[in-house]
Amino acid sequence: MHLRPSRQWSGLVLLGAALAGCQGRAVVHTPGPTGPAVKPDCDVAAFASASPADAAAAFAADVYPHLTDGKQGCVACHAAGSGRSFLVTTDPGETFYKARSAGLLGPTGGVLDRLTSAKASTRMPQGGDPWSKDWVDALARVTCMLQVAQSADGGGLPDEEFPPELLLPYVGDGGFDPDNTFLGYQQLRGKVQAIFSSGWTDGDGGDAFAANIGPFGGVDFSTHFVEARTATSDFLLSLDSLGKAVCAQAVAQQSGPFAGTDPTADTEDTPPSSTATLQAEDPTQLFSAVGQKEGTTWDLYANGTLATTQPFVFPAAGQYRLTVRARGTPSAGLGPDFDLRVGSDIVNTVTDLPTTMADYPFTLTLPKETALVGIQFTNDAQVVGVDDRNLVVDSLTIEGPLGTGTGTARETAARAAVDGLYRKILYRPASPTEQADGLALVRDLETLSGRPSAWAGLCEALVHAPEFLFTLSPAQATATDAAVQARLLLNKVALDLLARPATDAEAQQLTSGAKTLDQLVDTYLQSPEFRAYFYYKMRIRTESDGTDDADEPARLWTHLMLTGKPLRLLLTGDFGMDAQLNEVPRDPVHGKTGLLTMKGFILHKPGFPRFNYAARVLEDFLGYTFEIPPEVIAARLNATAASTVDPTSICFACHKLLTPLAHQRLAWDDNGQHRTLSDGNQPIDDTDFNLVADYPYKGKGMEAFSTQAVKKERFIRHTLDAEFLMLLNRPMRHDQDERVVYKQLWDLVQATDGDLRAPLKAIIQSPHYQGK
Amino acid sequence: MNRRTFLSGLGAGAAISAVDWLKLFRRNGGVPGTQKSLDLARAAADTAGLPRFLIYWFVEGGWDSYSMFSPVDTRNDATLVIPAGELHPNPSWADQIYRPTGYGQAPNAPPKTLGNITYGFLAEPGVDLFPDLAVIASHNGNAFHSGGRWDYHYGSYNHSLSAMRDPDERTVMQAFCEAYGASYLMPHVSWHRWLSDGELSPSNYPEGTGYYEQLGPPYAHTIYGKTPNDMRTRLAQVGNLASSARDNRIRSFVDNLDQNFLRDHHGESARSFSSAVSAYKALVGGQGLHIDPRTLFNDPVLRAEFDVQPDDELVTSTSVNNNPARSKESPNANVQAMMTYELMTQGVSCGFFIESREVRGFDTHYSRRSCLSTQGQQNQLANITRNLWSPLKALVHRLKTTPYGTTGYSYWDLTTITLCSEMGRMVGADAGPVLSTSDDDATKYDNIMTQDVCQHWHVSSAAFLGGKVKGNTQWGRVGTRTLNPIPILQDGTLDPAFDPVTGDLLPGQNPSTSGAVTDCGSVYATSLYLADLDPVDLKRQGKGKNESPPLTFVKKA
Repeated sequence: MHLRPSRQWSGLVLLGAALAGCQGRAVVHTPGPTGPAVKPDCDVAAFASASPADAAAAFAADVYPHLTDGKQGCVACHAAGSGRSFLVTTDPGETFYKARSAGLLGPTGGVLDRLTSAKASTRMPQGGDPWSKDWVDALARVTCMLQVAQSADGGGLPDEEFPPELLLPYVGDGGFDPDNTFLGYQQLRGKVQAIFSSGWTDGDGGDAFAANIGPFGGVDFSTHFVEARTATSDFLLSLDSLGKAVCAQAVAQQSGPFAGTDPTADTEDTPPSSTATLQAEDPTQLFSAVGQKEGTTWDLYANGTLATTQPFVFPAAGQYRLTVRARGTPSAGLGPDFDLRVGSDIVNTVTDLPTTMADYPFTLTLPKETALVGIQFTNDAQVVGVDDRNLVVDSLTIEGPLGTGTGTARETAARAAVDGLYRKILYRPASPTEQADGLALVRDLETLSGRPSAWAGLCEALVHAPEFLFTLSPAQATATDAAVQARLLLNKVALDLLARPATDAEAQQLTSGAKTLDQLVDTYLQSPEFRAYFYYKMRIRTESDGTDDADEPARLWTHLMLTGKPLRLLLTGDFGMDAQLNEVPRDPVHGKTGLLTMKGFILHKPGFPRFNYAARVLEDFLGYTFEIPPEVIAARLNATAASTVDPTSICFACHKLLTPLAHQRLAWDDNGQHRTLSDGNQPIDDTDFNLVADYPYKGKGMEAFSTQAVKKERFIRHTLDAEFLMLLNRPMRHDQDERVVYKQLWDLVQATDGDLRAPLKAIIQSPHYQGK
Repeated sequence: MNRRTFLSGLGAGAAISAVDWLKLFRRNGGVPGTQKSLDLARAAADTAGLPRFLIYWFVEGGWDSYSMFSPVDTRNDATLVIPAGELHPNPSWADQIYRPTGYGQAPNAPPKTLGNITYGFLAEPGVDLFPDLAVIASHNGNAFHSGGRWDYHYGSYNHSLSAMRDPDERTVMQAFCEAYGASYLMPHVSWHRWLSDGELSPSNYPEGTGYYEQLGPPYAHTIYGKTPNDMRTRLAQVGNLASSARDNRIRSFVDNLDQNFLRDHHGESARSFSSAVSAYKALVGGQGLHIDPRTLFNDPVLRAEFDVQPDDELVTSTSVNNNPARSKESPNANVQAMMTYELMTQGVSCGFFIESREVRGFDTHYSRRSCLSTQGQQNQLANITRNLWSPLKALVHRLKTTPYGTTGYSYWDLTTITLCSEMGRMVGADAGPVLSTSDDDATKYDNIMTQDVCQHWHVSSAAFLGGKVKGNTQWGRVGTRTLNPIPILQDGTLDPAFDPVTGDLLPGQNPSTSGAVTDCGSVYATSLYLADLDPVDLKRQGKGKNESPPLTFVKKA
C-alpha cells in the first residue's frame, strides 16, 4: 500500500477541444493531411560508434534549422528567457547541450515525444501543423545516437559534468556593465555604526532602524521576511530622516565624522582692515535726491538721505568703524540730527550738530554683507527769513573689518574639515573642487540655519551620495591613489562579508602590505561578524520564520561555510545542528539528507497533494523554475484524465521531477515528523515507484534523492548562485559572459571537495566583483 | 472641444480595430464586425483635460465565482449522507457538486436577478451598486497562484514570470499612470507584494523579474501604500523636505553627485538607483504638500463610514498552506479604500491597486472529507463582505458625493473601478483516477476523501464600475450543465451556437467565429479603455504588451 497523489482537477471541463498557441489563446488548428509522424524506433546498431559530439553535430546540421523555422519551429515560444524547460538559443550546440542536460533528448518524455504525441493538446508545435516525417526522423536519429553514445560511454552522467556548451566562447551580447550593489539593511546599519560610532535612535531611545525596516528593505523574521530587491524612493526618504538624526547628533556631540572638529568655527577669513572715504559731493560715491552740492560738501537742506551710490561690500563679518564728517546750521538754536543707516537698520543717531565740521565715528559689528550705507537728515526746520536748519556732509569713511585679519587660516581649516568629512563618510579625500563645493554648501546653509546645522547638512548630503549607498564606491574606479582604491575595495568586501566597512586598522594592513586582500578575507571569514551576517543571509535564503526549528537549515549552511566542510553535506549531512552551530547526532531515520528532512525545512513545504516541497527543493537547490506557461493552462481547460507522469501529458515536463520526488518524501509528514504508516494506517512506500524512466534521482526515500542531487551540475551551480546573490545581488550569468568564471569556480569546488569558502574568495577576486 | 481634442478622442475609438478584436477571437478565425463608435470618442473628449482615476480591487486567492458573478443553481451534494467506505455513491464522487455550507437558505440563497444582473449570494451585499455595475460573467481567470496575479497586472501575452521584464512591459496601473499621473505627487499607489506568496522562491525572482515596480517613467512606478501611519510618515517626510530651503540646497548638492554617478554607470543597480532617485525627487522636489499629513486618515466620520477598526490598520504576516510566512505589509482592504479616497481627493494619487490583506485570504481549499463534514464548502460571504462590498460601497458613495472642484463632475464621473479575482474555485473533484488504481478499497476511499474539492479554477468573473461604465449590465454567463463560460460575441451577446442556459453546444452548431471567453487581458484593456485610453495604441507605443482587446460594449455610449 502506498500514498498516491489524488487527481488535482475535476472532469467538469467541457469546453470544445482547442489547441493553444504560445500566448495561451485558443487558435484554430488544422491537422496536417496525415497527422503527426510516428516516433521511430531507435536502431542501436546503426549508431554503434556514435559519440555525443556526433549527436551534437547531427543536431546542429539536421535538427536546429527546423527548431528555428519561422513557421513550424519552436523558437517563437521557446526562445531563451521564455521560462520553458526546452530552450532554443541562438547557438545550435548550446541548444543541444541544454536540452540534453534537461533530459529532453532522451528516449522518452522529451522533445521527440511531444512532437509525435497523438494528443493534440500536448503535441508540439502548439497551434501549428505537426512536423513532417523527415523532420521527426532527423531528431529521432539524434536522440538515438545520443542514447547509444551515452550507454557506451559508461562515464559520468551528462547532468553531472560541466556543461560542454559552456566551454565554448560566449558569442552573445557582451554589454554587461560592471556590477555594484545597493546597500542592504544590515549593511546600512553597519556603516552608520562604523562612521557615526552609534546607531540611530528615536526620541525615546528606541531603535529607529528597526522602526524603518520596511522602507530600508530589511528582514526581521517576524513581520518582514523578504529583502528588498531594489533601491526605492521610500529608502531614500527614510535615509533623509536617518541622515538628519545621525548627522545632527554627531555635530552636537562632535563625534563620529565630526570628532576633533569644531562645527561652530567660522569658515571665512577676515581680511586686513581697509579704509574707504566717500566724498559727499561726488555723486559716483554718495548720492541724494535732496540737497545740493556746496563746494566739497553736500548740503541736505531738507529731510532726506545721502547714501552710498552702490551697496557697500563688507567683506567679512567683524567690527567696522563708520565715520561721518559733517556740520550743521541750526534753527531755533538747535542743530541738525542724522541717523546712520546700514541697509534698513538705523545703527546710530547723532543729534544737534554744531556749525563746525567734525568727525562722528561709530563702531559696530556687521556680518558679511553688501548694503547701502546712508546718512539720513531727520529734523529739517526753518524760521522763514531768520534761519534754516541744514545738514552739511563732507564725507563718509568706512574702515574695517578692524584688526589685522586672519589670513587664510579659517578657510584652510574649513576645507580641511570638508576633506575630513569625505574621508570619514566616503573613505577618500575630497578633491580641491569638492572641498570648494562642500564649503560653499556649508556657507550657504549657514545663512539658512546656522553653522552647526550647515555642517550637519554637508554630512546629510554625503550620506545621500552614491558613494555612500553602493557597496563599491564609484570613486574606487577613478581614484588615482592606490591606497584609496584598496581601501574602497576592502570596504566592499567587508560590507559584503561582515555588513560593515573595513576598519582603519584593516585598511592599514592592506595598504601597508602586511596582509593581502585574500588574507584579510580569510580573517573576515573566521570572524564572529561574518558568522552572524552569513547566518542572517542564510536565514533569508532558507526562508526562516525565526523559530529555532526554522533556523536549523541556515545553521547548517553557515556551519559548512565556517568549517569548509563539503557543500554536498547541505543535502547529505547525517547530523543536526544545535544553536551554537555545532553538529549534533540525529535520528538515523533521517539518513544522509542534510537540511531536506529538517523539521524547520519541511514545515513550510507541504508534500502531496500540493507538490510544494518537491518544487521548492528543486527550485532552491537545483535551480529549476516551475512556471505554468499559458499552453498548460489552455490544456488544463480541456483536461479530462491524465497522469502527471504520463510522458505524453503536458504536465510531464515538470511532474517528471515533482511527482517522483513527492513520493520520495512520503516518509515525512508536513509537520516534519518521520512516519512509517500513512494517515490511513497503511505502510508507506517512499520509493520513486519508477514512475519516470529518466528520473535522475531514483531510489528509496530522500536519501536516494539527496545523494544523487549533490552530484548534479545544477546543485553545484545553484549553490554557487547563493554566493553570487550574496556578493552581487544576482545569479551568476553562467551561460553568458561568466561561463569562464563558472568554470573556475567549478574546478575550485572539485579541487577543494566543495569548500564553500573557496568559491566565495574566488568571486571576490573576480573582475566582475571588483567592478572592473 | 477643440479640433485637436476631438481628433485625439476619435483616434482612441478608431484604434480599437477589428484586427485587435480578432486577436481575442482568433480561435475560430472569424471576422468580427468593424463598427467603431465615434460617440465613444466624443464621450472621451467631453471630459478631456480632466483627470482620470483607476482603482483595481483584487481578491487574492480567488472568489467562488459560481456564487458570485457567474452564478449557477445546483444541488449541494455536501449534504448527502454517504456511508463510510462507499466508493460508488449516487451521484458518483466525480459528479458530486459541493456548494458553500448553508447554500439555498438565506443569506446563502440561490442565484437571484436584479435588473439585468443575475448574481450569486456572494454578490448580495453589493446589490446597491448594481445600477452602476457591468458584470463580465463569461470570463476565464488564471488558475495558478502568482500566474493569475501577474496576468491581472500585466495582461495576456507570451511571457515568463521569472524572466527579466522588458522595457516595453507595463502593468495596467503603470500604463494608466504613465498616461495620467505625471502631475501627481505619488500617482501610483498599490497594496500588493509579488513575493508575498510563499510559494515563490525569492532566489528565482531577483530584481527586475516577476512583478517589477520600476517600469515606465518614474512617476508611473509602483509605490506601496502600506499603512496609514507609514503613509503619513512618508508624506510628512516629503512635506518637510519639499518645504525646506535648507533641504532643497542639500538636494541640489546631492543631485550633482547623483548625476556624476549616473553619467558613468549603467548597470542594473545603477538603473534601479536612478529610478529610485527620480521617484524620490518627484516626491520632494515639488511645491510641497498642500495638506497636513497628520490630518490624513484620521477623520472620524470617514473612519466610521469605512468601518475602520484598530486592527485594520496593522499589517499581518501569514504562512499559508505551510508555505514560508510572508506579508503584504498592507492594512485591511477597508483601510486601503479609505486611503484611496483621501489620496485621490487630496490630489496626491490617481491609480490604486487595492488587494485583500491576508495572503491567500480567499484560497479556500477544502478536502472532500471536510466538505462532507460541514455540509458544504467554506463560505466566503463574510470575508467578501468585509474585504470587498462594505468598503467598496463606502468608497463609491464618497466618490459620488464629492465634486471634482467646480467642474460639475464628481470624482465618480472620472473614476473607473475594476473588480477581479485571482481565480475562481472548483466545486468538486474527479474521483475517476483514484478509482482506477489498483489500490485496495480502503485506500481508494481515503484518497477520495482527501481530494481537494475547492481547487483553483479558471471559471471566474470580473466587473466594472465608474462614470463611464454602462451599469446594470451583465455580459455572458456560465452554463448550468457545463459549468463553463459561454463564449460571447464582440457586442457582448452570447454565442448563439450554445444553449444559453445549459451552455452546451447546440446540435449541429459550430461555435461562432467571433465568439470568445474573456480573459485577464480583457480586463486590463477594458480598464484602460474606460479611462479613455487606447490600449492597442499604448501597446504600439511600447507601453504594455497585453494582446487582448478591450470589451468596448462595457462603456457608456
